[in-house]
Amino acid sequence: MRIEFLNCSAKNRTGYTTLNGINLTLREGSFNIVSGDDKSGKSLLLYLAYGLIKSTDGMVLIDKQPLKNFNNKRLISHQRDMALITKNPELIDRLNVFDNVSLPLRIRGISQDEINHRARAALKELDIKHLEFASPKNLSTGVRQRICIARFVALRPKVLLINDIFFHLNSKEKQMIDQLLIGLNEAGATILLVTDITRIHRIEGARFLTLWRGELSPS
Amino acid sequence: MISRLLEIYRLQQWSLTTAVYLLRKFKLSNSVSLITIFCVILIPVTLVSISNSILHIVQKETSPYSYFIFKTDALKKDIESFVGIANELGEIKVEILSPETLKNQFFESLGIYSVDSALVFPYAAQVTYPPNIVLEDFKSNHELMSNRQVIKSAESNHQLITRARIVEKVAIGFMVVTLFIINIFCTLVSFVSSKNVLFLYSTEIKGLILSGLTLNTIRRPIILCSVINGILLGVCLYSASIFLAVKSNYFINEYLFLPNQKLSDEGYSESPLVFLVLMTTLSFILGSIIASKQIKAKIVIE
Repeated sequence: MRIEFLNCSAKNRTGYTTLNGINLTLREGSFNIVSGDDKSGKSLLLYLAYGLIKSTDGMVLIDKQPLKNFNNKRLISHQRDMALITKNPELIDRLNVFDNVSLPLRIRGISQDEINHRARAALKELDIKHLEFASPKNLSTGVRQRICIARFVALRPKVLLINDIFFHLNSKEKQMIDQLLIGLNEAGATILLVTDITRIHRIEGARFLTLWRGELSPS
Repeated sequence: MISRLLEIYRLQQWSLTTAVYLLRKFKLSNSVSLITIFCVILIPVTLVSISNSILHIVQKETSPYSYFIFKTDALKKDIESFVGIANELGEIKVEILSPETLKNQFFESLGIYSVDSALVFPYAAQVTYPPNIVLEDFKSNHELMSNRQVIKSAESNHQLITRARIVEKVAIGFMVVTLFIINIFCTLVSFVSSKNVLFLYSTEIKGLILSGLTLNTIRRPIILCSVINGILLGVCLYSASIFLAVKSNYFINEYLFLPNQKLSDEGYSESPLVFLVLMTTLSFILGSIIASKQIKAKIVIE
């Protein structure tokens, strides 16, 4: 999936964070890392691509089709091709780890055998297979974040939109996720990772950009 | 195709499981709101049933009629001519009472059943009109017949029927207003309880959105909770009404919340239950939809 931001401007609900005339192309299968200061508009960039918010100016093109022209059905289908991973791990505490990982697969109508296979493989890859039947509310934030990542590894999305997931991870976990992201990218996934400028993360083969007060520049 | 069907089935299954989970998790607040609404609504519902009883009496027991006393020298052909004219006035039932019958009826009304009187009674006629007759027609028909030469005196229950029609209108109006109040009350209670449930449920909502569920699907369990609550309330209200009916020795099929005596007569005795359950259910659904729409704007990912 190719995503293009053409002269895109956006603001959040408070009007505090803004993006000013962003021009960015995420080629299919590319790995892009955008770093920026607090309130520089990093999350807005992800939400624009996901279709959670609309640009105030310019447009977002998904495979050369303007995102703003998508009807509800097309938008849902677009969002289902993507995975948005947030800084804080958002899990459903009443479900166990396995059910949390398998929920996106279940609601997409995937067969039970396939769900079992994919979810268990993802849990193994993130080294949390032993926690399969544990309740997420009793786990540390780092482990919860790994469950979130496992959820999207199992999903095999075309595009990964990642919002500063390294915040809660220790160095060993960071290394594990780096390798995982490289593997997903090599398998064909387009990745847009945004991170705080103080936690800038170097990954081999990735394109680095800096977002400063709503404007984008190469690092 | 199979994948799509499986997706629909799984979404329904998820909605139902979540609705049951929410009902169990918030069972105390849910029960309190249901009991409150049940107790509060029972008072107007009882008043409505009393109104309905009055309406029933008015509709069943007061049929419009006139009494005509013929002159003592009235000939048989004059009486036949009177019956002929009366029959031309529409669906009117004319019954001629012979002097003997009239004498018996008169003494029976006085509580004297064995009498040997020399009093001479004239011929009389009892005219019964259709129950739904327009009051003006009733009055004009009565006047037309009482102006006949052959008639000595005439009486009708026109004034009683006029008062009964006013009581009927007031009873129906009272029922409509009370049902409207029940609707508003159910909607408000559902709105407030749905908002409470959604507020606590919002910790899950972000996770559900990120898993790919749409807001419409996320709202579904809340709406399902309202459907279950609405049905529960409707059934409770109807059960209470049956209990009251049994206690008051009132025929259950006639103890209705609505002025649909006609339906009851035709054998549709279940219609009030269906109507009441539908009404409370729809009010609950409406309240929860309004509540979930309002919270939509507050759902923001980080």
